[in-house]
Amino acid sequence: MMVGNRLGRPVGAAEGAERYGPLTEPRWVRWLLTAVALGFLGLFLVVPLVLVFTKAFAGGWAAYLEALRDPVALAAVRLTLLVAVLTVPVNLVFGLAAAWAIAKFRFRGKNLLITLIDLPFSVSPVVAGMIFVLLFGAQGWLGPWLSAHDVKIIFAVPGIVLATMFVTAPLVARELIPLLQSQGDDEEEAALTLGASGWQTFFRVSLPKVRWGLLYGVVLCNARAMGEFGAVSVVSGHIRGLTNTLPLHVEILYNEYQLTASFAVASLLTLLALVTLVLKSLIEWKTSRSR
Amino acid sequence: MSIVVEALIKRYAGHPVVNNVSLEVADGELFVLLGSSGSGKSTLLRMIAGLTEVDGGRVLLHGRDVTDLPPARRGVGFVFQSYALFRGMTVAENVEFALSIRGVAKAVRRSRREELLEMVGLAGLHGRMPRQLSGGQQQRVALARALAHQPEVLLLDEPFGALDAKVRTELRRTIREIQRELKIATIFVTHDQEEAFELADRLAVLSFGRLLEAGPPEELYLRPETEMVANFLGSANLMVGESTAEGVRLGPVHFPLSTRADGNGARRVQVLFRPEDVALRAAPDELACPVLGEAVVDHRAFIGSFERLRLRLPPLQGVRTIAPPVPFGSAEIQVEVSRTQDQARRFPLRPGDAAWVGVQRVHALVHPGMRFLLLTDGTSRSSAALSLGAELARLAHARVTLLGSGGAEPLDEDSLRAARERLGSGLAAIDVRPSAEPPGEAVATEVEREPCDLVVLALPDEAPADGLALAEKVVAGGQHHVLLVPAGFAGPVPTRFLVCVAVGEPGKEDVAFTGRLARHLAAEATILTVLPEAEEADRAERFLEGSRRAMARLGVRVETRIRQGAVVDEIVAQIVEGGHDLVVVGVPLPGRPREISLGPLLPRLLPDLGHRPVLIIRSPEVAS
Amino acid sequence: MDAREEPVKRRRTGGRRLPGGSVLPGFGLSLGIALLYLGLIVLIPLSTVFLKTFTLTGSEFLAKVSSPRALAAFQLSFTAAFVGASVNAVFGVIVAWVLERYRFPGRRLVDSMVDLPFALPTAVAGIALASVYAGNGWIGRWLEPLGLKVAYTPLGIMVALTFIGLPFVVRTVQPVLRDIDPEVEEAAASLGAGRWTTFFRVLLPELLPAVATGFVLAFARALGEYGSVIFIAGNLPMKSEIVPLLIMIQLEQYDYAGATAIALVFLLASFALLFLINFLSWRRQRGSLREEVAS
Repeated sequence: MMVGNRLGRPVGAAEGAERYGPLTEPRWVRWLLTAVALGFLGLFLVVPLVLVFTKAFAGGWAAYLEALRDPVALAAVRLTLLVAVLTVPVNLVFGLAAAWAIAKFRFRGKNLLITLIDLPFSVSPVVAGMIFVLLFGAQGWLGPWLSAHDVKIIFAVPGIVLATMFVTAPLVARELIPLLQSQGDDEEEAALTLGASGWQTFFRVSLPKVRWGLLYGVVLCNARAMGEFGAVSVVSGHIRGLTNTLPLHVEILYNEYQLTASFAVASLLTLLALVTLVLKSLIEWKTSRSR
Repeated sequence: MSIVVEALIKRYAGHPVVNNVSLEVADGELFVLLGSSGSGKSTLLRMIAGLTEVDGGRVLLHGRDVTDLPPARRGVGFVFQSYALFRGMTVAENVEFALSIRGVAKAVRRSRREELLEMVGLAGLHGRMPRQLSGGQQQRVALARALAHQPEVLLLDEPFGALDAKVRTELRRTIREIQRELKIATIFVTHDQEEAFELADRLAVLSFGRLLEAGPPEELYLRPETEMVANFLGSANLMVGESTAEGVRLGPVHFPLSTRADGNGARRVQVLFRPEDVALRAAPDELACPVLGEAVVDHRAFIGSFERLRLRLPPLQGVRTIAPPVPFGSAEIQVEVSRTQDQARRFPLRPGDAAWVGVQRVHALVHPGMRFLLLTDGTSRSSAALSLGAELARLAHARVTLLGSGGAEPLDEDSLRAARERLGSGLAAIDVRPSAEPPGEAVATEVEREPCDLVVLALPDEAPADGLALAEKVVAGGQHHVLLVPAGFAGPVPTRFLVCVAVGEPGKEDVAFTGRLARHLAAEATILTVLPEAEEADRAERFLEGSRRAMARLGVRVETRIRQGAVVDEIVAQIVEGGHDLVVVGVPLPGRPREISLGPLLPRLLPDLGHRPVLIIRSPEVAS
Repeated sequence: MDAREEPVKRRRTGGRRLPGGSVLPGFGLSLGIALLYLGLIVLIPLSTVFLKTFTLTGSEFLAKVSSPRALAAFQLSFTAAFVGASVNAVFGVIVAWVLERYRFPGRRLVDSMVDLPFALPTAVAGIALASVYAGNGWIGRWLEPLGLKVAYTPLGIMVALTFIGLPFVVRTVQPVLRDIDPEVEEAAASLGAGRWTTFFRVLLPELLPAVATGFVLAFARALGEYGSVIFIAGNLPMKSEIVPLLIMIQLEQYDYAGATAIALVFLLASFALLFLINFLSWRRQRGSLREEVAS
């Protein structure tokens, strides 16, 4: 009944509780720091967030819906979804393979491989787009051959997909590597001794263990795939209705001073970001509970 | 005195984890706090250091009241189980930390550091980082660090808990040597009895937040006062016998004993003898000490320099064993024996062999320990009573007998087991007894077999009159008090008692038992008497003051109240005003014990109590 | 230490050398997929930057990257990224501290909000920040009378880069702060240290490696950032033109050689930062690994 309260350690040391006087700061310091932190976050995160929705609905519901129902906007939505649908599964397979190889085996050059996986993170999105232009563009290495065979990559959907894949390549792998590493090999080895095949071990033992981390990687990858701007901007050519993704559409509307429409479309992408954050919190809550 | 702790209290969520603990540690003394995990020993130590807030009581270090000082200003050295070294600093920086924040000159720091590292046996390792050291070495650094600022007292919180056996032994020796050399008052917290015995000048045993006994290790081992301590320090054979003018009796066997047992001729007494006090021979006339009987060897284990045996004796009339525990429903007696290898060679025994058992030395416990009887009818009505009863028993270190009585038919095993689970863990001893008799008779039979101190009964919400009738019957049927727990009770352990007395009451017994219980629960008590409007309050005041003093002597915070008006109304008003959560009423015993009446007060009071438990105290003195 | 981390030759499995040193299956397949994909999507495309640059002579290359416009862009990009990362280093520690140590209503919500810059498309962040900090914006209108023009100035770029790098320091410092044994602080207190002393002498040294990692991550991210900056920057050559924008403009003018030359310098800077990040986290890991070995 009350046994749980009879801790040898003070409650103050436990998660979720305030600390006791001598081990924390005076009240005014706590208030001040909290105010500074919240003020900083408010200024940089909350105000812009609120602004997006305020501006989006500045013209009322009708104007909002009209901006979204615009055929060009709908085409942008379709293209964005298409890019995500193509990019995410490919990156999922890559992320699983890379994480498995890195977390479970020893081999030469493993650290180099980890660094390579991180590489797209530290490459400017503009450079990321540029390299595909250099490769497939009209003046690029493969340009003449491509135009001879009438294959369009740059200023077309394949280029957008490739650039997005480059930018989002590390996301799933990065989530999975530490998870797989921390869980050790015991369960996999047990499954093998019980007669499971390699694939059975992978799908029935390893994958369920990391499913939440995997889900988060996918969610994050999806958000980035739908929201990528710089790299896509370079390779898209901004052809309305054809190669404009949602973020590019936002830019065009904004530059044409169609502010309400621009923020209306932006609010869609903001919702996507908020859903991503909610999913992340849910997943964290799940994993902390199952631990 | 270097360290004085006065009536220290710590509660978490209303539950006392350190309960009214007082202790004193002399200059240069090494004092060990021994207790199992959750006994409150670490919390007590952390309160002395100022790391945990104090809910009540005082801490004095060298006569200075430090209760409200932050840890930084108490001048203590504290050693943690996890070492808690500063990872980013070298060994030297760690050791010098306390000096450098006090602005001590570099040269002085350096020489002090060298001296300390030399002392803990790490000379020359000052340039290492903590992670480059083994666990034992890290704890040595932590010890040196805690001593650098020459603290007035040294506090060690299970410092060897994370180390392996061999390292522990070495570190124990180091600590003992350093402590002797520096003559610093030290409190050492551990759950390891061997460690406690080896280190302690004096040791104290803590259990469920209460300090049970303190004294030199040998004294506590040979002559414990309480059942808990007898059981906690080493293995014990503990039986219930009778005290006589010349000593104690276990059934037909008489042990002459110059006993310190209280002279008021308490009939029941707990008799302790240690496994090494038992002598085994092939024939009774070879034994030069009182003979318990012929026993059969159950188990034999070789444990290095000793041999450990468990023997089974046939039942002895009037003797019940407490430890080692006997299987449910058996009246046989088990005896724990340990023999040196030399003794074992002279009279080899294997399982199944027979041997005569003699006892060379016995000790009678001064405090016989309490026994609670918890009654269950197997339904959810009694579950609140079981929970509260078990919690009280844990805090009061009482043995518990769970009596299952369903009234018309005997309880089935499942509901009895469910009731047993309700009691939870951590109880000193539990006995489960199904009975075929109706509740009142079942209690009478059970206390006939062995008297108890408190009977805990459920008070059904829908039929309080039945509950009262049963309580009446139970109070009449023995020497015990009764706790009535309403089925709807769901609160924490009561901490604000209201003791309702009429002038002339309460007898010694009221104060004694209520005070004892209140002390165990860290509860406060208010003694209330209600006078008719016209009456003078003088006599009542004098009377209440006597009761107050008697209770305060037991270490209970107590105040008195006199109200004037109608009894029931005033009691209810006081309950509301004072926020009381347990009501104590005395029952005057008339000349003939079978004619006890709980009326007229209780039936009238009960509807207004709102699920508060009621403690009914028998007052034999009033009767005379 | 984990057996996997030991050199291969110490582990003898009856003469049979296991692929990847483990009985687990799929070494060849998983490594193959990873290398193939990385090669096709990352390495081959990236190599074009180097190959393209090699078509330039040394002096042509120097001329491209040291033109006044390019130099101004480099200076601006590095300065703004540095300022943004520095602001985040200071406030990131405060935010992490408040989120880990204090309890206040809405703490969980605030905690998950910190990741917003990761999840919000940069273009959205860009137009939102530009609107907020413009002269007639919600915040800009209060700053402008004070003589502070944020949007369409280098200051605006710094605001955008602060936004973009916000989660990094918070997220690297938080777990370290959480894992600090409370007994370490109690030890400091029992030795006579007050809260300030404890923070600066005991806690901060433990946090610094994480702060450094977070700083470099935020700096690297800010350096290459494009989407959130261009809307608020003003994009005046020599004044408020960042390197990614310059590359973009040169690409649009089909000056591929110029774009590539600048991109190469930029890439090398990214590689250096990546190396630094890996070095920092390797050092932190080695520290904790050693501790495990010792205990």
